[in-house]
Amino acid sequence: MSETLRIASAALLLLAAAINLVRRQWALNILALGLQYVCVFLIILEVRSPLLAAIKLIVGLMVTLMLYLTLVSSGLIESLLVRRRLSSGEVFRGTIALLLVLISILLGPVLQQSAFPQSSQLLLTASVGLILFGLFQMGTITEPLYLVIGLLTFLSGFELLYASLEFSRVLEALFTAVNLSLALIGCFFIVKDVESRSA
Amino acid sequence: MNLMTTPTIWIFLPVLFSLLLILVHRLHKLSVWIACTVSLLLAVVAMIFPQNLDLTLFGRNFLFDDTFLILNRALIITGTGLKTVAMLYLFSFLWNIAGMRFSVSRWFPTISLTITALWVSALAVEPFLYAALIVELIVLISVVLLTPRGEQAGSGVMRYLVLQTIALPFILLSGWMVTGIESAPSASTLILRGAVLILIGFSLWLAVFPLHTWLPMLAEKTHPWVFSFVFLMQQSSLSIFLLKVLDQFAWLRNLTGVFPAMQWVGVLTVLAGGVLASLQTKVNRVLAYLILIETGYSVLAIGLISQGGGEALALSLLPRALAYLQYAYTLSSIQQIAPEIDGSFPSLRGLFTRLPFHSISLIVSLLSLLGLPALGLFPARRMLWNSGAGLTSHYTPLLGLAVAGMALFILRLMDTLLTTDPNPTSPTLSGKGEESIWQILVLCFFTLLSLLVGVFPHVFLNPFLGILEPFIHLLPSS
Repeated sequence: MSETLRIASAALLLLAAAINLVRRQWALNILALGLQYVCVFLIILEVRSPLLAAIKLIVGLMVTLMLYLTLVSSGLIESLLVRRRLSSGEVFRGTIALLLVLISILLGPVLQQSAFPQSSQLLLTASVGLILFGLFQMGTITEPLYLVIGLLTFLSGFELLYASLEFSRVLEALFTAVNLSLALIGCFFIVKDVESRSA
Repeated sequence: MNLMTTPTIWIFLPVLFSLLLILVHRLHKLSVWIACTVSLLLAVVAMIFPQNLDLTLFGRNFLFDDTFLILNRALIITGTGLKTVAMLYLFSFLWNIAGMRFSVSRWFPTISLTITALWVSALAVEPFLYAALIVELIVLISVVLLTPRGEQAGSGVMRYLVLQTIALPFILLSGWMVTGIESAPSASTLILRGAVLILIGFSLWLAVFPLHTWLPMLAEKTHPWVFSFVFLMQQSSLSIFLLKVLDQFAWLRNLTGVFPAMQWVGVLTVLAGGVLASLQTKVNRVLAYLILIETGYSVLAIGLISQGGGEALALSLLPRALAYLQYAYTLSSIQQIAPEIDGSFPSLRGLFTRLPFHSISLIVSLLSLLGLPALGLFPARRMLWNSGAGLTSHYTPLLGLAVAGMALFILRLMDTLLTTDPNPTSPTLSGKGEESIWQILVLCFFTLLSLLVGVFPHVFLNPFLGILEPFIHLLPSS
C-alpha cells in the first residue's frame, strides 16, 4: 500500500474519532465509527496479512451494525441530513480534538524512539490518537452510546498498537470476543436508557 | 486433543452448563438448583482430587493431565492449584443456594457459574497476559448483573467498566515488555517499566485507593447480593493472581521497593476505607467500603509476604467470604421483608424492635470484618497487625485509625438500630414478628459459623493454607 494512502487513512481515522468526540448526532457517530474501523484495517495492513487484518474490519463493522440496529429500533435516531448549529460544547470539544491530534502527532516519534522501535511512526500516531480520543470520550460523557464508542475507540487504538508488537491467534480471538461483548453491553445500555426515558 | 485434563473439568464443563442454563433461565428454581449442584460438585471434586491427578474410580485408573493446549497457549490447573478452584466454586455454591429467596436477576445462576469458570481460566492461562482479556470479559458479563432491573445504567457501573477496561492495556503491555526479560537481567529500564505497568494494572483492577470512586456508587444502586458476589470473586481471584505473577517473575519480586510500595498502598486503602465508612449513612454504600478495606488488607498481606502475609491472606479468604455472605444476606433479607427500607439510617431507625435477629446479624458481620476477637477474621487480622507493627511503627497508627473509623460506623449503626424515633413518620415500625423461623435459623447459623471459625481457626482455616502451595518461589517454605 502506498505511503500516501496510509497517511490519508491515518488522517481520516483521527477525523472520524474527532467527529465522534465533537458531534452529538447518532447517525453521524455510527457512520464515523464504521469509517474508523475501515481506516484501522488499512493501517493495520502494514503489520498483518490482508486476511488477518480483515478480521478486525469484519468485527468492527459488526459492532457498528449492532449499535446502529439498536438505535434504529429505539426510534430515536435522527436522519443524517438533519442540520444543527454547533453548540458551545461542540466548539470546546473541537478545540480539544485539535489538541489531541497535535499531541498524537508529537508523541508518535517519541514513543517510537523510547518504547516501540518496531512500530512505525504513523501507526503509533494513529493508535495514540485513538487511545487519547477514547480516554477523553470516556472521561467526559456518561451517555451510553458515547461511552461505548469511547471504549471501542480506546480498544481499537490499543489493538492497533499491540498488533505491531505481537501476534497470537488466541489473543485475536479474545480481542474479538471483547469487542463483540462490548457492543452487546452498549446495546444493553442503550435499550435500558430508552426504556427508562419512555417509562 | 486430550480432553482428560483438569481444565476440561473445571473450566469447559461449567461453561457448558452455563450454556445449558441459558436455555432454562426462565425456570429460575431449576437453574438455581443446576448451578448449585454443579458448583458444589466441582468444589468437592477439586477438594478431594488426588494431587498427582491420578484418579482411581470403580477399580479403573484415570490419569489426568494438568495442561490443556489451545493454539500453542496453555490452560494449566495443577494438583496444588485445585484448592483455589475448590474455594471459588464453593463461593459460587454459597451465593446461589443462599440467594434463592432474593429477587435478583434471573441470569444470576448462569452468569455466576460463567464468572467462576472464567476466573478459574484467568488463573490458569499461560502466558499470564491473556488473563487481562479474560478479566475484561468477566467485567463485561458482570455488568449485566450489576445494572439494576428496570433502571438505566448508572454512572457507577459505567465508571467500573471504563476503569477496568483501562487496566487491560497496562497488563498486556507489561506482558509483552517483560518477555525474555529473565535472559536479559541488566535491562533495568525495561524491568522498571514492566513492574510499573503491572502494578498500575492491578491497582485499577483491585480498585485500591484512590481508584475506588466507582465502588460506593455501584454499591448504592446494585443489589447487595450481586455486588458482594461479583467483588468477592474479583478480590479473591485477583489476590491469588497477584501472588502467581510475583511467584512467576523473579525480576518483579526482587525489584527493590515493590513490597514496601504494596504495603503502603494496602495501608492507605484500609485507612481510606475505614475513615470513609465512618462517615456513611447508608448501609448499602458501606458494603463498598468493606470491600475497599478488605482489598487494602489483601494488598498489605501480599506486601508483607516475607513476614507471614501469605498465611494471613490465605486464612482470611473463608471468613471474609462468610462475613460478606452474612452482611449481604441480612441486608437483602431486610430489603425483601420491608421494601420501604432503602438502607439509609433514617429508614433503619428502631429496626431492632421490628427485626431483632436481622439487626444482630448485621452487627455481627460488621464486627467480624472489623477483626473482633472470637470472630472469623481475627486470626488473620492479628497476624497482619503484628507483622505490620513489627516491620515499622508507621503502619500501626494508620491501621488503628482505620479500625476506629469502622468501629465508629458500627457504633452509629447500633445506635440507629436500637433507638426508636420519638415521632414516627412511618406506622410500619412496630414489632410484628415479621421474621420467619427459617430466616432466624439461617441468620443464627451464619453467626454461629463466624464464631466457630474464630474460636477454632485451626479446624476451619488451616486447609486454606494449601492455597499457597503452588507459590514455591515466593513462599519457599509453604
